[in-house]
Amino acid sequence: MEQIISYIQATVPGDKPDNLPNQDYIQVFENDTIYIGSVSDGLGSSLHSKDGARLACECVVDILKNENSEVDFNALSDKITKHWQHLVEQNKGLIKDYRTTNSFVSVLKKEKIILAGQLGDVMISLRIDGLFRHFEITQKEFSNETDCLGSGKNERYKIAKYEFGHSFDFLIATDGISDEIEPLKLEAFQNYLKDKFQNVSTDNRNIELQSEIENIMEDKNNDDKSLLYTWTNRK
Amino acid sequence: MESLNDFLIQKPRPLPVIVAVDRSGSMGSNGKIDALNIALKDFINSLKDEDSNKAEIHIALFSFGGDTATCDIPFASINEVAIPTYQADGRTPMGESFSLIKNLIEDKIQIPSRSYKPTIVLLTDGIPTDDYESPMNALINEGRSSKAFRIAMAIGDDADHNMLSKFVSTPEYLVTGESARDIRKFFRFVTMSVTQRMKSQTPDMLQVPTMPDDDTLDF
Repeated sequence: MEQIISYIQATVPGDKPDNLPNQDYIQVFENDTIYIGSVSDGLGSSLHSKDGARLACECVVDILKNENSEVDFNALSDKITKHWQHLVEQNKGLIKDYRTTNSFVSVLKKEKIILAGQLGDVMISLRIDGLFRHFEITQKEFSNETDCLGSGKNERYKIAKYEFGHSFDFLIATDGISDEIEPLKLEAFQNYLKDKFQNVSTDNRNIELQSEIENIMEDKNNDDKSLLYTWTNRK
Repeated sequence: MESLNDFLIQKPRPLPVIVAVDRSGSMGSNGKIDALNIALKDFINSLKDEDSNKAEIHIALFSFGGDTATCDIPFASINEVAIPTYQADGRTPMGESFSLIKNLIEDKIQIPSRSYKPTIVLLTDGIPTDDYESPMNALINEGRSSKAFRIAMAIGDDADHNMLSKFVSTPEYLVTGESARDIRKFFRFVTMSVTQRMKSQTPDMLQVPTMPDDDTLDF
């Protein structure tokens, strides 16, 4: 039975000075054979992190849409990293000023394979055929202490491959969201997102999610908050 | 009806400040312990007045004197702490305080990874009387605690300047003083360093404020 993939996405800037842009970025690509969701969090201390975050998502989509499930993980990580550096250089910037984290999930529809990759602290939470497959979350020591593209060290994605049968859903979220999820409520959070937004019309889903995140933003919170949630229903 | 608030905890990130002060017998001379008590109260009260949309200061206070080091303020929000008054007495078991500080910083339950990097503040007028080298090396070189910013004050000629110069994160973070008055000046310097971090868009970058002039101190 064919699966229909649906998703919601929103990105909301934190409470910070007006001249500082939202440095998170989300990109989704879908065709008949593949679905790719990618989320980046540009580091606040770098001048062009917003651009670095966008380029990371574009780069991941460019590469993954041409890969199959037999891809070598190390080669894939190298390919993404080098392509990102190439894109940055094309933009005539210094790589150190474009630092960003990035995570992605790629669904190979016909092969029924999911590839998940993470560089830094953008969270991935996968539920496949009803079971949570905990993608190892990067262990950071303190806030802003994370591996990232453009840092010159540890620029390597952790990549995992999963098979799926009847269903999946997954959440990709920047630390503005993931650091605030109550640890024991992650599964309930995904249930909430699916139960609520599958009943909202496609045209209004992202608007409603955006509004809901804006409503919970408080003064004492300067983190950009971004999430991409993807789920399946049977046709 | 459920909303995102049922799943997300909205709190500013903690900015840990961990203070270790000398209350050994030598601090009883020349009014140093009294100056320390006043400076600590001023320091904590001034941090309570700070407000930031980025961070909430959390503090822990340790002291070393007598025969042991103690935790006098367990790690908590700056708005929840009561400030002790110290009496000068005994030896200088500074190494033990390094171990206590390290244990705190390595504890991700108390200091979660969403926190900003801690600032460790050390004030002493003497030479450690216990084995300090191993605990200090562990504190400044190993694990999570190695990421903390470290500021120190050496009061008088008897302080171990060589040891303190190894302890601090950067030479500008070693402050020397001769008198009780300098203790208050030092804590003003620490307050400025912490508040600069709170207000910065990059709180985890090293911030070295200018040492306050005597004219700016209210005695």
